[in-house]
Amino acid sequence: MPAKDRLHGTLDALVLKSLTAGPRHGYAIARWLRDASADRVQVEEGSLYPALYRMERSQWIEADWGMTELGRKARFYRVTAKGRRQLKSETDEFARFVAAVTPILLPA
Amino acid sequence: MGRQLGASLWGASVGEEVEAELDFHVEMLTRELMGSGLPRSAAVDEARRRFGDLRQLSDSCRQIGESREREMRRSEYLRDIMHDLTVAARQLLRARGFAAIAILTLALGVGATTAIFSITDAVVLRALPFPEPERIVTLNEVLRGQPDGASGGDFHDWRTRAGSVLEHVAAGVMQTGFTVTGGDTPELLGGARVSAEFFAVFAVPPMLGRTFSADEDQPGRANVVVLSEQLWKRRFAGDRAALGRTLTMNGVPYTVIGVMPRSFDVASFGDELWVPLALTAEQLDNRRSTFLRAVGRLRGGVSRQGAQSALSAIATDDARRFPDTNANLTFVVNGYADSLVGGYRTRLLILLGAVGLVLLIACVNVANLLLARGAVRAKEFAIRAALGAGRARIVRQLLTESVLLGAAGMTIGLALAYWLVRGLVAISPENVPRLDQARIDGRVLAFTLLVSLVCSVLFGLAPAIRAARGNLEGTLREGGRGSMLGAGRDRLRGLLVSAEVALAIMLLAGAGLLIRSAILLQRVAPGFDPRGVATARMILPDARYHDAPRVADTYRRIRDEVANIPGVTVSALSSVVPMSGSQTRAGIGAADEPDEPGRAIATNFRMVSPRYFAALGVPMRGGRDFTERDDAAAPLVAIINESLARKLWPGRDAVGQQLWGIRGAPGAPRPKLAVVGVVGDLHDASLDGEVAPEFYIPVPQTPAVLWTALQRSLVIVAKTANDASALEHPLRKAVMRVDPSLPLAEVRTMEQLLAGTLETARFNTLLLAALGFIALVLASVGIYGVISYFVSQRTQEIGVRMALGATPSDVVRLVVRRGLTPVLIGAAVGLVLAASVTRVLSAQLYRVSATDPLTFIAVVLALVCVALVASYIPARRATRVDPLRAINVGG
Repeated sequence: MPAKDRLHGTLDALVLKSLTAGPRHGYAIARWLRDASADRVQVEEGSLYPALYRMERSQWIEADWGMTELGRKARFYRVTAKGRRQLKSETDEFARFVAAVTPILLPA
Repeated sequence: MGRQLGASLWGASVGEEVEAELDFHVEMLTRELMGSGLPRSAAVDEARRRFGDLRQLSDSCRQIGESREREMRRSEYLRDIMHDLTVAARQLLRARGFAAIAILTLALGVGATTAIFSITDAVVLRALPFPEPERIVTLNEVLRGQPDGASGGDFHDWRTRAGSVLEHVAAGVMQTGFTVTGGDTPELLGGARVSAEFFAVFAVPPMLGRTFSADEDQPGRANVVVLSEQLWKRRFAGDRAALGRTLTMNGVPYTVIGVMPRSFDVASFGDELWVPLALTAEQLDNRRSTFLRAVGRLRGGVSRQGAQSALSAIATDDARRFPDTNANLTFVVNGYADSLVGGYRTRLLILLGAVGLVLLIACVNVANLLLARGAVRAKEFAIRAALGAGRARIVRQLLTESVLLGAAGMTIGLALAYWLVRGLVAISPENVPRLDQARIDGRVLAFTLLVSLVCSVLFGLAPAIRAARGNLEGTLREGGRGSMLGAGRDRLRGLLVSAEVALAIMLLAGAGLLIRSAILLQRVAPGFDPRGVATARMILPDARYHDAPRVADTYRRIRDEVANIPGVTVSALSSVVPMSGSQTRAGIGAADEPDEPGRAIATNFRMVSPRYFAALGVPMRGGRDFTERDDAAAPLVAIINESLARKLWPGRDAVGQQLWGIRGAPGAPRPKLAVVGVVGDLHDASLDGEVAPEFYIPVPQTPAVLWTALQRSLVIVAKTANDASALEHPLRKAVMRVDPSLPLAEVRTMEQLLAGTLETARFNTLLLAALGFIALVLASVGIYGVISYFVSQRTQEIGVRMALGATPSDVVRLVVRRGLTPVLIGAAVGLVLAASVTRVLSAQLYRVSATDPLTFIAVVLALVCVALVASYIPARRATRVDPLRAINVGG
């Protein structure tokens, strides 16, 4: 998992991003991140859940019990307006970071 | 909605939610792994492995979740409170009249009680500014029931033989006359001569330097002085180099050795400076002259009773050893604080009772207002309850309103208390001990605030609880309208009005009795005419005036100079003037009986010049006044007052009789004085006291020993046809013409002195009268509130009655009768209570019985008048009800 370390700082942003399409439970978030990155991003469950609870406390996301398609009770997360603002600022930050390091690491 | 639904339907703790959530994930992962071909057990193991330490993970998630819940609850709570407060403030603003009256009532209750209690506390209850003040005692000898200071012999005995119970014993004598020279003008300072252990008795160390050693408390070595902080700052500008400097007092140099801090407040033992008492061996052996005042410090663990029995044993022993002086003597030990506070204690405790009554009235008032308001809002609560507002929600809203009301009242009350303490201190007489230290007392403030808060919350909630529990439908149907017949609900409010009136009557009766006493006291003939009389004290310093003839001659010259002041009609001298707060006393007897100590009558005496009686307008009842011929060489003479004449020679003419006079020196034979005149009695110490027996001797015949004891001090008494207070400057100039270094002290007019004796009693009366007034105001507010409520609730009925032909005066009568009934009941109860309670005032009353009918009638009339006005105003409003509108309101 080469992307792991850098991923740690951007985990919040990734989780928020995963929720922009609609409410998801924790397993679905992990699944989506893996699928969307074509298996290149693997989020450890041990990091995912504390991050979720932390973000809930920060009121970036809200949680709700609901039913899965399989009729199972699961805790669904939804991004709040505050969470969207947070995602935007982290995305912008990331873009600036990439723009700054790209000419150095990958000179044209 | 979603969050609440989830949390409340699930009803689970954060921990359970975390478990469930993680379980779900593990299971989904297991299925996924099984889907890729793993057998179930391997898939479960793999899924768990990916989670790492599952227990630790769930713990940390639970912790984060729980703190989130806590934060949320807190912010929700704050939001609710803010909301409740906003609503409550809006409600109170809408009911502005109600809120204003309730808040002012609370403010008056809290403010007045706190202020007056704080003053009481400063004067009576607060510990003295000394370490372990309860260990400080006063020691007195008691002759036939009269405490009478201490003699040198007593002091010597206590110091040498009571060591087992008293750690320190000290004696002192106040000395008002320290003439300090060496500055620009001679200055007359007040201080005391005290024995070496004096400062140890109070256990206060000097702030600078040291106090006297036992060595310095010896005749001939006693030229050292300890200054008060105030004098040190004034005279030496607070310079530490003052230590070791010389202060020339009465012509003798004293070395400054120490400075006592301002907190060393022993006003009864001098307040500006202290010099050693330095009793001679002869004085320490004297058992007759009780000129000393003694204090002691109890040993740790020794009770006052313990000290008393030790001193009683010494007294018994002394009676055996010195039968001619100590036969009838006992010693008494009292708390020092008691001696300071004295008569104030009862007065202040009475005030405290009055203050409690006012607080009670205020609470009753607020209770009544809140109940009335609660009844008005019964419909509102019923509707809200019907609309689904929880009972807790309504109660909480009302609680907020009550607390807001209470807080507003308290804030204003606090400001009022602060202002009242300052105001009362400013208008109080000078001589109330420690009054200047009065500060708002935190404990009292807390107490009054608590009482008023509990009161407002309790009675604010009562209607809410009733509404929340009560019959919804009934309340709605009746609509809080009620009728004259359904008056049962008003019974509680009527009862509260009665209670309030009864309390107010008690308070007013007490205040009324004191006011009447004050008026009667004002009319007491003092026995002299204070108008146009100025007085001023002089002290001739020892260094230049040590022989008696020179002293007498100087005073004669001063008297002549004063007589020459334009406008002065009579110029006279006296050792003490009436109402000045000091007295000189001697035991004397008729010379036709043997001179035995047991026969002597304690008698006030004065040395006076000719024309002293003329200056004060005291009538001669027989014989003659002193003349210039009654000098040192002439036969010894005396003038006595009517009381002494009646005592010594009842039914006989006193003129021509003989008295045993004052010894010229200790152990010398008593001289016989021929009574040459009898003068009218006069009130000497205070107007309400008994007139004491008294004798007068001519200034030139003063025994030398008395000149020393009185520091060669006399008072000028000058009568003028003009304004006596304008005499101060001419008097100073007249004295300067005789000796430019002589200062004048205690320059007062007789009218000031007379007023001074009344001031403390007046202050007390004023406080009680103020409280009575507050009670009256509160009671009228209470009556007004209840009647206003009554009128507003009966608008419809009044309208109907008027439509049916009732005249406005019928309506007024109806409403006023309604208001007066509880008032009259309360007044009757109040009178009965007052009659039993005012008895505690007896000692303070002057020629007024504690159940003086005139006062009681006046008080009831005043209250009924106020009640009439308080119910007439809303009654008038009732007559202006428009019948049509009134009926519509209900429909």
